[in-house]
Amino acid sequence: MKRMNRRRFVRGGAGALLALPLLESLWGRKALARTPSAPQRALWWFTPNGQNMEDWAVSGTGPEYTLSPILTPFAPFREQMTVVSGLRNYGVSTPGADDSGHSGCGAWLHCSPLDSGGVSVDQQLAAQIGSDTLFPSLELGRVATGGDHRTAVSWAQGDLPLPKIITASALFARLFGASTSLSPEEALRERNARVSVLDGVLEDLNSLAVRLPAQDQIKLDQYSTAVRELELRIGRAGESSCDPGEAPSRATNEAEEIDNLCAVMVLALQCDLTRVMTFMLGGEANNVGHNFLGVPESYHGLSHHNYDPVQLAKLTIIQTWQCQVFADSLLSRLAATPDVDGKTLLDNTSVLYGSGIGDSHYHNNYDLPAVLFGGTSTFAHGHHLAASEQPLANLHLAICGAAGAELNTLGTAGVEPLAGLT
Amino acid sequence: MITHPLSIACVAFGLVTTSACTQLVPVPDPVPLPAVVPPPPTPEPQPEPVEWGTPPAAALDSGRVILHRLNNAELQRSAQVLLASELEVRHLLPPDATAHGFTNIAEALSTSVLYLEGLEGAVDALIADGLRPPITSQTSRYQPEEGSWSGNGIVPPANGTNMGSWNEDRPSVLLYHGASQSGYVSIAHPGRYHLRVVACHEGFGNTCPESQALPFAINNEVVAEFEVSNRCRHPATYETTLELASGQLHLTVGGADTEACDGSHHAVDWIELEGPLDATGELPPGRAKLYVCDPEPDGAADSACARRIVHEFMDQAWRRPVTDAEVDAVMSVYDASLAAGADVHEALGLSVKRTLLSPWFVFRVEEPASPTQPAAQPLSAHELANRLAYALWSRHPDDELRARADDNTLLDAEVLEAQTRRLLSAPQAESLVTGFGAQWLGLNEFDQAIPDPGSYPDFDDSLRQAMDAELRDLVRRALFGELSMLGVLTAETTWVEPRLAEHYGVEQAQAGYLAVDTRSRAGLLTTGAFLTATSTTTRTSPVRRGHWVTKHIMCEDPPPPPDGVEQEFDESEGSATVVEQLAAHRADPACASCHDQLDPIGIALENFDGIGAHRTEYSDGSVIDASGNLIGVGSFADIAELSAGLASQPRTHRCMVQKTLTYMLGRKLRADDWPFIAPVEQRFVTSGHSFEELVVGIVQSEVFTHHRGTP
Repeated sequence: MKRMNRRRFVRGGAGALLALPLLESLWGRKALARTPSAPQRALWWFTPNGQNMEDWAVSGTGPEYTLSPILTPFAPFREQMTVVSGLRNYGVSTPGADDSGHSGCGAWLHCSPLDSGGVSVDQQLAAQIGSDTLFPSLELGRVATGGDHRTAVSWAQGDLPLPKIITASALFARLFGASTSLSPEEALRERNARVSVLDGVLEDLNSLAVRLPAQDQIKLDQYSTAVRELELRIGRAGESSCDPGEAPSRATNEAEEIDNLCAVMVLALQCDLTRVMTFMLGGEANNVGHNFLGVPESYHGLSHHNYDPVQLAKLTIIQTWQCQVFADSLLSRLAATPDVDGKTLLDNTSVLYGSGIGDSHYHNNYDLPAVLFGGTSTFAHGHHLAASEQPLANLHLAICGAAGAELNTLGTAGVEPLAGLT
Repeated sequence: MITHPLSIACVAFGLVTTSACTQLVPVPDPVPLPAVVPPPPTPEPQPEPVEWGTPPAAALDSGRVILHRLNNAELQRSAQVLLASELEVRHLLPPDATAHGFTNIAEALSTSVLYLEGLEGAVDALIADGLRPPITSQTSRYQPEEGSWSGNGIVPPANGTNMGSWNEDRPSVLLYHGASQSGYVSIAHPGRYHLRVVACHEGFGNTCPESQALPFAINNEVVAEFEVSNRCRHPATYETTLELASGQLHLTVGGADTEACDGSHHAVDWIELEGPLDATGELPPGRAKLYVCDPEPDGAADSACARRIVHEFMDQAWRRPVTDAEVDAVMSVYDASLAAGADVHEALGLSVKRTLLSPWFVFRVEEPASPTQPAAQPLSAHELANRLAYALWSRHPDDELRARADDNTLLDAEVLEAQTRRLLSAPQAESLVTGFGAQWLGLNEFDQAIPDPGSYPDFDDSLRQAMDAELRDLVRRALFGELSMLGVLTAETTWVEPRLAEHYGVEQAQAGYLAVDTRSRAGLLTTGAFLTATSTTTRTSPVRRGHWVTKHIMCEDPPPPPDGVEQEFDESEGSATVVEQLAAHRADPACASCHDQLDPIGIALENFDGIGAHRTEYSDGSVIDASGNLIGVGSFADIAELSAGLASQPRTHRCMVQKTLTYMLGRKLRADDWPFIAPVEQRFVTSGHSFEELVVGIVQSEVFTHHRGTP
């Protein structure tokens, strides 16, 4: 298959991306023939420690609402987004009862009580639509997955928090591999060798499983699943002729690293390497400072602001920046990248921006911050939807529907797609 | 439900249960019952704790360690040893989850496709490094007139008859007026190399010298110069020896200053590099270890030898004797690889990869003789050896320990004890410092602490490293017997590098022990690493410090405050505010149940700022009063008295047993572990709180030597 010329990897937002050739040319003819209409995708973007709701909440409902200070960076996308307020995560929050604070992070996407085996919505979606792409889903962010519920939103079967890729260079290497100088024959031989090794590993796993107690089999199952997924991917390697150009250069600050990551994420969508992604901007309850914004204090410490106006103002600075970086690095690129059907990637991707905690101070899990972007074949945007006490899970179900999946329930209270979005 | 701002830190909502913290009372000594019950494991129902010290033998449950994936440190170390490589590959793997304070807890060590991809990359890299081919001296010849070279040299027409070139028809390049040619040469191995060149010099007329220097440069630095005098009718070879680094080197020939002599030039025929000259052709360590026989004698694959190599490697990597059928399975990869056109070494490398990606290497398999039988069953000698080696060395058993497993003598208590002491006193036990001690005492948290440069302009990487070294040294001394384990809290000296001495405000030109100082009397709690790790980015946090000590030193974990009451204090206003705020908040009984325990510790540490610098007053001039009164300890004047008080607490001793046992088993402790802990704790206390005796006690306990099935 003919390969395109190598291009320099582009950084710097939408304008630079316009220089990329149209998506059609990124695809081989074979792929185009198989995908006549554009794939529909979903992306969840998590921000930690809730929001300063005084500056987050918009005023007015319907199309005539007024954007809030924190959401100002979203102004250019007003017609491509819906502000959804009032949602509750019933997995960790019951009206009138005590909330679970930081649990809102781990439960953000499965909307079930913690440690109850909840599988996050992205993984359920990937199980339905992920098999068409090299990577059923990608778990990304700026915080490594650790051992508790504050550092993961994506959960697989068995209460397994999925590890994340947290740098652009690592993501690029995973998606596009190290630059390879192998001839097609050598590459095939290498693939065959890898598969023969993995086949053998699967044999070991199967023979071991029958000898061990049931508890251990869960662990072996996880490993078997990983081996099979990797085999599948090796089998497909070489199908795509998408050339990403050069890997991103090293970032010198946090905003640049996020920007690089977003650029590679957009490439992943453009090349149709995945249709499901989650991104965690930070871990819940993290104590990082934002020195580059002039707010060096521990973010989590600030978030319990006790309605002190000084702390609130600092929170607004951080949270506005979070919206800005999301708009500049991800939304602008998605909106400026043409898709195979002549629309944009944003049109064909439903993107949820939100937090697992509502009001930072109380760390409650209701009136959750949420803004839905894109997915315009399904969603009618341009308004503020007051969805008081509606389950967050229903919003996730609506996104799954837009991505072409049939998911009927989710978590504790998700039973139908959230009304008022279409 | 709270819908309005709170005015003070802690308010009782009628939902604050005091159960967890009311247990924070001193443990009477001797102890009839464990006063502190560890958090119940999920999801199994918990039996009541067995009465302390008198466990009925029939009720003993040594528990199970769920199938244990090697953590990244263990995996790297094991594979490095197996392949005789020192290559770091941990960064290729997703970080391990931390649970119960450690990264080696079986429940939390999961796998995923991302993990597997990382593992494959790590194993590939280690095989490439460990099993690299032997280094032999090679000679490479370069023709500088070829297209891959560039410069302003002149390549004469092929007939070679003009321009004073060779008489013969040999390709060459002519360098006039300081012209040069450059090309890239690839050096696989660093070392000494012969550089050879065939060249000549032509000088026309009387103004030209008889000879002219011909320089060679590598990466634009002149490394050799030959005085070339022969005419081109008589080409000569010039030679010298160079030290070369590995990689792509930019080699330049020519560039000499030839002014004042028109027509003078060099002609260069070819250039050679031969080396590395010290290459012995010996097998590198990885192959030497793996190749127990020559798999390719006389250039033909010897499959019997390959099988021996694979068999012995599997036996090591899988940490047990392997069966013929298992060897057959791995050999099928070898055979298929040869059939697909690979050479013997590649095929063996692939078999090694197959062995290392197998669950038998990736997991520490413990296979109960009766998998569904919940009664205690002894571990096999190999399983016991593996537990011991991973607990103390973070790797698989060495030859001697393996031999004691192979002949089953490890099941003998005396042999087990002797092996335990041997492992503990060996250099490899250093892995305990990082794996156990540093994690227990929070070095990981310290690594992640990022003090705000605006608030703490003094904090930099060299200071961080010095703090790291200080804490590691303290841990090392406490684990390896120079101090008792309580010395972690009461060490009378602390390791200070010059950068840290400066930070601590003492004179010390060289790294060494600081003996007489505020912080030399109080061990851990006055180390820079601890004090930094438990502060926020911009200031100290007395509650966090108190909580950390309560959790890690006393193994008591107060529940988080109820929603909306988690508070931060503004300490910039001076001590009165801090102490007043804390006091006001303790006036509420619901808060006091926990904070009576936490706050005095934090206040006692207020003499140290957010990066551990000593201070006696706040920035507004108000004097810091670090004295206090702690339940169980009584009143104390300063941090040294508090540390000594904490060190004397039975709950502190028990916590050390708990932490060590958790790490050595790699699992969370359960209520029914308590009967096993009592005698171990007894031995620990009686020994004067020796870590070695604690480890020996644990290793000889049934909780370590036995496991069970699950119905």
